[in-house]
Amino acid sequence: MQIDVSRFRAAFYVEASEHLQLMEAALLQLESSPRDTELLNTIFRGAHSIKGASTTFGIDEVGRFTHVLENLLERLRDGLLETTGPLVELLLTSVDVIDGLIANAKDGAPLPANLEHVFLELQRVNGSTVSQANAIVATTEQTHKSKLAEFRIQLKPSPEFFRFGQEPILLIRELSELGSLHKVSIDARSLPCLSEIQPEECYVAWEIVIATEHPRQAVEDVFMFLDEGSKYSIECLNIVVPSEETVASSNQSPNNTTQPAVVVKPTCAPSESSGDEDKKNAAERVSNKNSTAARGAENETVRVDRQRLDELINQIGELVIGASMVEQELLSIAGGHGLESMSALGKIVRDLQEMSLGLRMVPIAATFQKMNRVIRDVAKKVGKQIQFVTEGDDTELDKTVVDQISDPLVHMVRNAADHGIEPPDTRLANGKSAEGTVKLRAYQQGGNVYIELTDDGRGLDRKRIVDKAIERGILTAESNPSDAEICNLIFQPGFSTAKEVTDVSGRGVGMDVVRRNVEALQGSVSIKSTEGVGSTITVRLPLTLAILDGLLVRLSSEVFVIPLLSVIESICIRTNEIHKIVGVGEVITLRGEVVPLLRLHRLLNIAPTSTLDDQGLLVLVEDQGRRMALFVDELLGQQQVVIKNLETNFRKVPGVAGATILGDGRVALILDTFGVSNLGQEEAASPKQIAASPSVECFATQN
Amino acid sequence: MSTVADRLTDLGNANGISQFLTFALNDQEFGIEILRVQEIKNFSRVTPIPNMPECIKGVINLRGTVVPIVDLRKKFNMPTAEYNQFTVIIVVNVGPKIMGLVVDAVSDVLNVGEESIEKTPDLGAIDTSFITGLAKSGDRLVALLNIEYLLGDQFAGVTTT
Repeated sequence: MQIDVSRFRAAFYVEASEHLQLMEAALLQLESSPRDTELLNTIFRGAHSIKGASTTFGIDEVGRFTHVLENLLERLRDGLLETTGPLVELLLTSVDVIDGLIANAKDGAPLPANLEHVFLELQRVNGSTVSQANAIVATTEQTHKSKLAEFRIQLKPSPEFFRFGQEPILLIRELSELGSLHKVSIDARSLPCLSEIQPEECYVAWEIVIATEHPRQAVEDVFMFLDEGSKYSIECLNIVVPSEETVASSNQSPNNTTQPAVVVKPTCAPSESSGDEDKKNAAERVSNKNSTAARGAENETVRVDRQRLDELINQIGELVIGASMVEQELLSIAGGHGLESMSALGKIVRDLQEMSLGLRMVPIAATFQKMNRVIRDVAKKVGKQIQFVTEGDDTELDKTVVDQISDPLVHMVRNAADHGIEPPDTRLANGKSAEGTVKLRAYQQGGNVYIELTDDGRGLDRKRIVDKAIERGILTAESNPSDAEICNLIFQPGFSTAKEVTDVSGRGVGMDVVRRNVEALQGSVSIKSTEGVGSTITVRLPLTLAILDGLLVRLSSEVFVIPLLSVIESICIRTNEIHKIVGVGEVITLRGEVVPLLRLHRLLNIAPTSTLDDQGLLVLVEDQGRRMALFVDELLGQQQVVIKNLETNFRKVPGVAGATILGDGRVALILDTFGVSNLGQEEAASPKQIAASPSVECFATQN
Repeated sequence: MSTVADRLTDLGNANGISQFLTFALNDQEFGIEILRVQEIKNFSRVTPIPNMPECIKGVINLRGTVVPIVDLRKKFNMPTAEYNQFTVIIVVNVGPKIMGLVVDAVSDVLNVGEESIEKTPDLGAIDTSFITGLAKSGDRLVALLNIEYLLGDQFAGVTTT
């Protein structure tokens, strides 16, 4: 039966990267607790799953590589090898190589450069003398120096066997690769007469006798992907094994295959185990059972295509709007009749929306986990001792936000490790412990999630930053910037105070990128630092990107949404506070501060209903460090709105961040405050094009 | 979706017959390939988009999708007309995007054989690339529109196929 595997490939890539993450995490832990067999098991399971799945999908390079890795891991697990620093290093590199290989298979990324090297290194550690990369069979044989054992396998497929896309000949072929098949016989007794045969059902069973030097585990592995109804038993013919192990039935449903090694494990101790090993195996079995239970609990998830999820969330968003439209109509026609049930429905719908938005939320733990590796690598490279602590790993964030915050975090963490933490001798000289601490903490507060990165390093060097700023002409020698201003400086593009550009950081592209990325996610970043004591960078992120807290404002007859995030306050206009500065524009003075005034009517080309300034309001906003006062006719209220992309069916519009659908079904545009201020600047740059009335003043923003 | 549409187009072409939705604009008749048309709806309130060319009326909410609306009269530099009960929005698929076209009224669906489609006459200086041809049906002459070409410039990045 031919099944289309390409559909499952995508799932495999996702799964593989999860396995790799787990492996990496376990490896990093293994460094500190090299005797932890459960960690080794986790790593082994990951490698094994990747190997199995990649072979199924015909990604042979991954299969081959993982195979060798698995052999090594097996020796580690069996205690034949000692877990040492260099070995863990090698294993970590191997994880990277697998990642690279998978990327290669997935989107044709170049093969990892160190592939050959790592492969040979793995083989060397394995004790294999064969240098040829492809001669893995030889390696396998060297690893399992076991006696030849004979197994009798009885395979009784379920009637649905074929429907699951299984193929007995493949199983038998796979078995024949393990050793020589002494007997393969078919049991066709349950075959009905021709008229009753359902061609899609499987009626026959097989008995196979195989002689192999592989352990029982290898034979069991062949049947790893059997469907639930199918039974098989493996009996050892010429080696004595405990009776409980003679019959094993496969209980794996196809979607359990991600952790196959766990399920199979308890019944598959190597048959040649000596007394000593028996004890170890027993212990291992217990720990495995525990972990099986634990994993069972965390496994209760369903993998859903992101697009489908988004569609569902979108539809529920529509439902909310639809419900409120019905409510308004009811109000006008029924005069309050049926409103009670309507408001009950409205509540259910809103709850539903809240729940649907929760579906996109994932814990940030995986991202934090990645940082662990970053810290470790940097520390190793620059010869520092750094302890990495995380807190609030289970804080949940929108999946999109989690995905996109990863790169900025890497920048920040690198900076902290490379610039922040001092070398051990300097630390000791300053009366600190030799080991520096970098701490990542996530917590939720209101509608925001905060990620805090704290290090106990040297902190920002105020003098050097000021010098650099003067050198670059950002500050003048006389100015005496506040601490906040200093901190702001390091977010300037190209601003790096690192004495030399290192491999790790110091190119000055760090913090401004961080800031831009965070702001693209509608978040903000700030830094606090005390010289000699350390610094804390706080990143504030919205819980979700699908919904935005907006301030609804009216401009003539149109409704616009201003992201609440950027709103500082709204103020009544006192006409005497508006100053026209010829060639610059209109400004207001607010508590001594001069803020440019932007007339949205004019910038957005909307005919104003009133010419009187004091009938409108000013909304003071700040976006990317730019402050401005927006002139609007009326504030309509504050509302959470579902963001709709204008580009989906149209194109990007300057000054507009997107659209949303209001409760009455109308479309309202969401203002991009930064874009609007740019419109203002363009207007200032080319006043003649816009000058509709002779009294138009040019606008300029404060510099 | 598009593959089905393509296949249908192929089928139609195989018979040498294509179907066009015809509509009126300033007393002239135009046609759009029927497979491009998603639906026809009454004109409803449009939210204007700031600083757009005059032909972009704005956006509407089409069952939760924000769809831009183009006034074809404005696009063709025809005199502005009052919107009345015949004014409709033809929702069309342009590449992967959805757009609405405001027209005076829809007329009918026209079956045209390949042989009765004439090439656009060369009008010298006037750009006629947005017209794929002229369809004759009785004494009617219908200008067949290439909407990708016509609307492609409204959004950068749409591939005109």
